[in-house]
Amino acid sequence: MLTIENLHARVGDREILKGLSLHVPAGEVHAIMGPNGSGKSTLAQVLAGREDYEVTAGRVLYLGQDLLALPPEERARAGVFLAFQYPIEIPGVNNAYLLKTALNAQRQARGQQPVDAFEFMKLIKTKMELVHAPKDFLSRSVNQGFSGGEKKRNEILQMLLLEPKLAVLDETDSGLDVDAMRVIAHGVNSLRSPDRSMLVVTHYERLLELIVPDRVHVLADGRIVKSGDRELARELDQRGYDWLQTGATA
Amino acid sequence: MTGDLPSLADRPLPGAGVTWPRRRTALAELAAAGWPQRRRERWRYTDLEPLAQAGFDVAPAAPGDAELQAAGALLASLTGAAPRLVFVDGNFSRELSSSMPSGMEALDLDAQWGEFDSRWAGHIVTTEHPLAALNTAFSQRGLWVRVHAGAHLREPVHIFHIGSNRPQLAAQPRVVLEIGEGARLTLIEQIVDAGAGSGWLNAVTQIRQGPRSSLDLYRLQQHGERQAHTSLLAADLATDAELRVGYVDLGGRLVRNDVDVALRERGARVELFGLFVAGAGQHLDNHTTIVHAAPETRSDEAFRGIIGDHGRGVFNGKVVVRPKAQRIDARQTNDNLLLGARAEIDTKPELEIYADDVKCSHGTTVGELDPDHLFYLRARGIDADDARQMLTTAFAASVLERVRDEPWRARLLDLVTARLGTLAEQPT
Amino acid sequence: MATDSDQVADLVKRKYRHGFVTDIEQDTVPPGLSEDVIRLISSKKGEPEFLTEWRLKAYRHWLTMEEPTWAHVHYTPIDYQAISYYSSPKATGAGPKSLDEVDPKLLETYDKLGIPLHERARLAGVAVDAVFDSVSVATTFKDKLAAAGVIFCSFSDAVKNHPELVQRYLGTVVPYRDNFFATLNSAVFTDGSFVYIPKGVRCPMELSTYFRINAAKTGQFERTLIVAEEGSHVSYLEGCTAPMRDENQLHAAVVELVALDNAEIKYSTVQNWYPGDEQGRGGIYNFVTKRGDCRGANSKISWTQVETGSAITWKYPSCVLRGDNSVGEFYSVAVANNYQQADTGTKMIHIGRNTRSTIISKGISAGHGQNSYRGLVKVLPTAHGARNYTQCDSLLLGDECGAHTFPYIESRNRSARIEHEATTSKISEDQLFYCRQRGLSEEDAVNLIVNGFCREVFKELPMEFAVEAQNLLNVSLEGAVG
Repeated sequence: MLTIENLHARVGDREILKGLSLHVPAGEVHAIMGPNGSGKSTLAQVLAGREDYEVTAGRVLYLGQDLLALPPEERARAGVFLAFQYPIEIPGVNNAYLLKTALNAQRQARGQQPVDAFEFMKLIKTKMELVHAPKDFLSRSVNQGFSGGEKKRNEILQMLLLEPKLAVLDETDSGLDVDAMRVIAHGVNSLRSPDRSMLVVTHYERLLELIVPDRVHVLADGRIVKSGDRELARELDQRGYDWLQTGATA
Repeated sequence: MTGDLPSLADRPLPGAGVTWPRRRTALAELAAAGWPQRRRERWRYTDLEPLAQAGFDVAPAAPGDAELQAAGALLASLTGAAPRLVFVDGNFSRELSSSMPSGMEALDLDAQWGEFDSRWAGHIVTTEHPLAALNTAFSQRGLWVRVHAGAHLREPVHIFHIGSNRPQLAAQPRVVLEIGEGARLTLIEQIVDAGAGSGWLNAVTQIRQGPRSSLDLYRLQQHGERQAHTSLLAADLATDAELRVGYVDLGGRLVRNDVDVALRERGARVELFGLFVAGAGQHLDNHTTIVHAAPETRSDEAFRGIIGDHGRGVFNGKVVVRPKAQRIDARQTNDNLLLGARAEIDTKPELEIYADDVKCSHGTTVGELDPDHLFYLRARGIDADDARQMLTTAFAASVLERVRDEPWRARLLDLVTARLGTLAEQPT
Repeated sequence: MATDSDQVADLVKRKYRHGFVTDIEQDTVPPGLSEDVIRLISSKKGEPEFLTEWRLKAYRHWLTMEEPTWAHVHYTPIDYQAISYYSSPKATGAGPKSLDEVDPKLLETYDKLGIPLHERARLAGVAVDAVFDSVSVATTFKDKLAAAGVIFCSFSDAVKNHPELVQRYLGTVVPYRDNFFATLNSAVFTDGSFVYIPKGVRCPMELSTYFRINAAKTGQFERTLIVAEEGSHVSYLEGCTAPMRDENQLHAAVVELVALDNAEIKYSTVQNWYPGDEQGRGGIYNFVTKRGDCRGANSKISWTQVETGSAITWKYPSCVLRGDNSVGEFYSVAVANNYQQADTGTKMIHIGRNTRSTIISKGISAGHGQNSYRGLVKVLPTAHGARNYTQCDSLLLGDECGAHTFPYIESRNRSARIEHEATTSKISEDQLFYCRQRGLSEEDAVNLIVNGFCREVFKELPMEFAVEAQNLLNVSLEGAVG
């Protein structure tokens, strides 16, 4: 599904990703962990196509395509979804309207017929139940006046609706209480399938108890320094990240 | 120029001969700019035509011994042994002033005239400030203050403008302030009169701040009740310079303050705040202009007005963001409390924006005390008048919080509370 | 009083001063403005004496006035003697015979705006009788109104059929001396709408200028008068989203609204006059005076406007809140793209007790456009308990345009509560990226966000207008973000 080879990326004149390589087969859930400033969010933003970040070397293959050559909306229509760490507020834009427009943009790209308002409502209602979205969720402006937890749930709701092939969850658990995390994890797990892959970027291990990864990678100083199975996550939780740093310095 | 003003061109120019070419140019600029009159947008709410017709002596003789003695006595009642610069009737008085702390010097402007003329010409746009041109033409014994690069002056320096009781006098002090790179200074300016005052103070203060310098300027205006006042503060800030200006206006009959701040280079910041309290017969006008001329500059402006019965307040806060001034932050608030049935306020917060990556906002409110707040206090046993006083004082105090010099803030609060007390006692 | 036809015959027989003899059958009057031209216009329209006199008073006053200038609006001076002040309605057969003869680019715009097919022909100037639908629709419409007692006709018809109503209300909201352009309009106005809603009647449908069958090419100096008697209610729509061209560059209209006790007038405008080419040449100058008088207690007047056209827009729809408890509202979206200049806003004058005003202004600047909001909230000493809330937001698309705000707030009554807020911003990269990550193209993302920005205003528009307005906004900002 996703192959990253020797990715170097910088913002301004600061290099953040320094030769990151990663392979995520279809159907798998991989976790990216690492200390603050290691480049986890940068990786997520670069995959989604954020123009502030300049890729200086390396390549990314997504379903065999050169992902870096595509603008953000085309990556989205090709099935890449980023659940933002800080979801943006868009005043005056109705939440339902954004969702329907996004869904139809993607359907159109796939050669499918757009859904009308009635079909859309049917589709979205079941998804809303999955994330315990309050009734007025759809009628409010995108993320405006939403609590932190509501914003994250809105991201997952969008993911459920758009059914991406590659979902990148950028610190989805930050700022969430235990119950909210359970709801989110439930939503994410419901999407697991053989032709879908997920990249869960997180600082803490507890989310990974609920969304159990197939592989865990540790990102430090812009590179993957260690990979392992879910046990690695537990080890990091107990020992922290320092013990890896000695290995990371090159 | 209005025909009623005694022909200024005929008046002998004051000061040394070397100053006359500049003074003549200033008079020509005044004639070209025209007197501030109601018909012109800038003076729409504050007509200064009466000043032209009142027969003021715009270049009075220097204060004599009697005036200086009275000023000295007044001074003694106002201050302790702080470093101070004293003006009497617009003339800098070295006898009444103290020596300056190391790191700064106070020079006679007349002695620096050549340098003043070449380095500060064009600093003020006289078409917008005709009265500044009047000041240039007739100001005597001005002051040039230099703060050396890197100087950190811990003690605030006091500036006093004292008006004697000489009638029909237009005092025109001129202060030029240069803050060197990295210097830090607090100035406390006080304007007082020896009596009810029947004169006019037309002051101009020009400031240039070097990179990374920091200046706090707190001005307290307590003119006599019949005094007229027009002033211009024009400041230019270099890279990462920081300016804080706080105006408190309590006195005067007809007061018009102009404050122009140019954030000329990247990172410059200004905090501009003020409180004006207008009682019966008072007209207090604050006109400010902040220009963001460079990226990453910031401005924070907050003015509060308290207008009593038959009082009149005017506020005009203009923020201009030039085309290349990106990633700037400009915020402005003006809140006004009307206390009397015939209190009036005219306020116009203006924004002129030519850059797009900016954060600009302004807010203005006009109203009276919140009845819910009043009720809350009364429900706790406080009587209505006291409750009103408390809330009004709280309204004023919130802007005074911005004064960083603690003893001065405390003094201001006392003075303002007392003034609000007399405002409440005026029959409505 | 002599009958209309006597007067006309009289005028025909008279020789004018300066040897200016005219043949009343002539279709156009040569350019230039003088008392003779005004008398001629008045006589061609068969107007009663009071109206001719009123026009002349306005003209004489206009001669003493100076054209106003504003800091943020610049235009080449108008030669008032080069304008032709009267031309008769376009003869039928002069326009395209069918849609096939219409410029395809124009049709493409109609498509983007979502204008219904049966309206496109009429808008493109195809002769009305070729379009059967609109004629029949309009006839049913007229019957409904007649049954309710509502008068809705052209201003010229009102002068002929209801002169006493016109005389009672004309110039009582915008006096002929009011301002330079209103005075000019009072002297030379061509035609417009007249609406009169009798006591207690709720007008059964939304009135639209589109439905005035005998709508002559009024454009230039339009005069509209709407009177809502006690307890009545009307919603009036002006303009349309289709780009409107006019060989006349200067438009100086006057609109007067009168609302008596418990009456309500809702006036919506969607304006897309030709804004000039990308270099800013040749666009329309739109100088309009619109004012509503909330004369009665508990009356309400709302102005809603979407202004995307004109090279220069100068208009301040205002409300005089005279009656106790009266309410004034102003909702506006103004776009200034390419080299357009918009100086628009509102005046809310609070006079009666417990009056309320709400102002929501959204300005969008793009290209080299300059957009200024100029508002006045004035509270007179008698306006006890007045309340005003103003929200003024500017959106800048690009760094070559400007957005300016000049709100004047004058309060003379302590019990009045006034709140004004303004913000300026651009579409953030974050917002754009968020939408694009969800699959929207950049252009769609911009449209979505801009429409969200204008939502509070759009929701005040009558339904059909709201949809058209959104499309109009998208079309006017095409290519603005790059």
